[in-house]
Amino acid sequence: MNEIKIILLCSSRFALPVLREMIFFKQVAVVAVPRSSEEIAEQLEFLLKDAGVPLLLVDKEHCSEQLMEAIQQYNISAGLVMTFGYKISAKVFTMPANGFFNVHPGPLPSYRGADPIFQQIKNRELHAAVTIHKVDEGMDTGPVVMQEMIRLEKEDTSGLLNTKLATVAARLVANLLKMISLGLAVPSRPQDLSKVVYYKKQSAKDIVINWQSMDAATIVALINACNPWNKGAVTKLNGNIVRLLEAETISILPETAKAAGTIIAFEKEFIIISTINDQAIRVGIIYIDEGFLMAVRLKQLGIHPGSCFEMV
Amino acid sequence: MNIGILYPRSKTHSELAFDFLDGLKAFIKEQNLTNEFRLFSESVGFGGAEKEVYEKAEKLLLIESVDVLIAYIDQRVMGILTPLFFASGKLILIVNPGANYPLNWIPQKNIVNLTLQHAFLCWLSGKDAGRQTNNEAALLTTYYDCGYLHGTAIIKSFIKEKGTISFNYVNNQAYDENFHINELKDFLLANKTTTNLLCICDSLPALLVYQQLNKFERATELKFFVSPMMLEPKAIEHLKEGYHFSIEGYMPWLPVSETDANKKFTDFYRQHTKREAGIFSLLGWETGMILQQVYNDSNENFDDGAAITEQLSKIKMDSPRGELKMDPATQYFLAPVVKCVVENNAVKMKTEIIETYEKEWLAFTGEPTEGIISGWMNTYLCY
Repeated sequence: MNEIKIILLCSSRFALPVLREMIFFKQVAVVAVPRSSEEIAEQLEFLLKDAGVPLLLVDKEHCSEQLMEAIQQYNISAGLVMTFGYKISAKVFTMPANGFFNVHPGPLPSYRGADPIFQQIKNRELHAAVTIHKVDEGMDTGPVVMQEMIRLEKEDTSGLLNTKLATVAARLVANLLKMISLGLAVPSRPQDLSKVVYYKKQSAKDIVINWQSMDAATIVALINACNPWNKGAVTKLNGNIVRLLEAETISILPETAKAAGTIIAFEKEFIIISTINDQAIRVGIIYIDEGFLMAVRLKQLGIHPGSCFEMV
Repeated sequence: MNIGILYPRSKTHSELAFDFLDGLKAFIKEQNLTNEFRLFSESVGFGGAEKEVYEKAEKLLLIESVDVLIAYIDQRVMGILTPLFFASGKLILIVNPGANYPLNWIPQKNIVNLTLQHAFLCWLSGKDAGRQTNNEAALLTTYYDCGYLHGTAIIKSFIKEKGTISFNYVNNQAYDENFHINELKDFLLANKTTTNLLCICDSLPALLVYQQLNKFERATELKFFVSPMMLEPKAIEHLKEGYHFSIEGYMPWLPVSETDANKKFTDFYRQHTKREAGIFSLLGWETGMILQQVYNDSNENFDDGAAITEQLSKIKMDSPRGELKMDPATQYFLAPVVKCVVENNAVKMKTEIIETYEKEWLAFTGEPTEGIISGWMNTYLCY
């Protein structure tokens, strides 16, 4: 096997299992992080210091120059991108002998875009996927090298799915790097353009619960998709913003159903909220200005059965 | 139809490659498909040298431009082959004993699997052991056998039934006249409550284990719950003299089954090769059956392996094992299993074909695979 030296470009914890594996096998030469991604940079600093791997903080305006310099300095054989904030220019991704590969936490070409984890959960997909593709000039457009699907469970939050997909990514990247180290050309297949869907980064309206149009399962999916990065899906109660962080759908008797968004009951640590189609959700955890609380503690703030959540 | 075949070799089962290829050729001949099927074959040795396997697969797919690739390889080498298989888009049929299984059962759309279901059969054995009144057991396996996930399967189902493993014994002896299992015997002498043995051995060590324990002073108390190779004719060749202990397990196929499909297979194979059919020739024969379906249904358009897979998932075939059909969720071909029981001092094995296995297959494939790793790169029995 040939020795390989990888430059890893990342800006989220999605890259951590891959990075740990590459450190163990001494395959990573340098890690590049956008200077603006302070949280991940801080996390990586400790990990990389112990491993003796340099951390390169990249500025948006000098991104290409900094990366090219690092590729040359460390004699890089291939680049890996795992949710990196900046576009990689052709002069960068063509520099290493084996090119650059993007590890995308969603199926391609049907989940192009910035946050496929959020979108897959929100869309209530039965399966989620990791796709590795060759980097080209477009965003998530390069030919696909491999893709692996996993079951997307109803209770998977963004955070949980991130962890699961990151574990799959580590296995796929290990195989990819093995191919490179064996000197094998990495085959790929162009994306089927008839199946392309591009998702823009979610805006404020994408994380708001619409009690009048969303059924119980759709609301729970949105809540899960917003946990933890947005501290939950957004709604309003008595004029105050409330974020719902954990919920599940439940069956209720039709005669107990109320207008969508109405609190039907407080039950142990949960609140039961009516949704359209005579369905309901049971909410366990909320986030309000006062903190992360068990939902039942809304009682202490003067909320009673019959109070109604509204769309923001 | 151009068919690429990656076939293995084995020192301990030298008949493996011949039987597999002869089984396939026998089916092709029996069905008069000799003019329709062109075979291109490459040996992949024991199947553990990833680069070699990759290059042979690449040659068949890119240079020979085969329409379908039959790869007698294991899950462990699939990792680096997956991009090649994905890029080719062709139908890939993975064949092996099924002692390993994937860490993610959700398949790539153009890859299907035909196995002897060894890990699944071990799962069933472990479950039976766990349901014994005394569900404490010692685990007995060998250095070569324990590196595949059939060991995980037997242990997981046993523990799921609240079974307790009292002793783990991995034998690393050479399979010769000095072979012994003294450590296990010492344990069994000191621990009289352990009467059950979960055993995973290939046929040769199985024979040696049976010989050793037949002379053991607690032999009549012992009950073996075994992997499929421990029920193969080579393993139980002394059964005609009677064993003092009892044996239970599952086989993938009943060679003496009187069904038309089985008789056609065993008779034609004997006539064609002058040898008796075995499990590897069965795999070759069934490979032929699947290829025939592909040929009949694809209208000579073999480029879309995913579409062919979809077609295959709707078909039921009359195999020597019984009804052979694909589980669409995993893209594994499944067939009835054979429950085998040898009672104390009996000289014959009782067998029963079990047709209702789907619920257990779901339980087996639904079991979490986190933290599981298989040690060997080569295909089970190819060493």
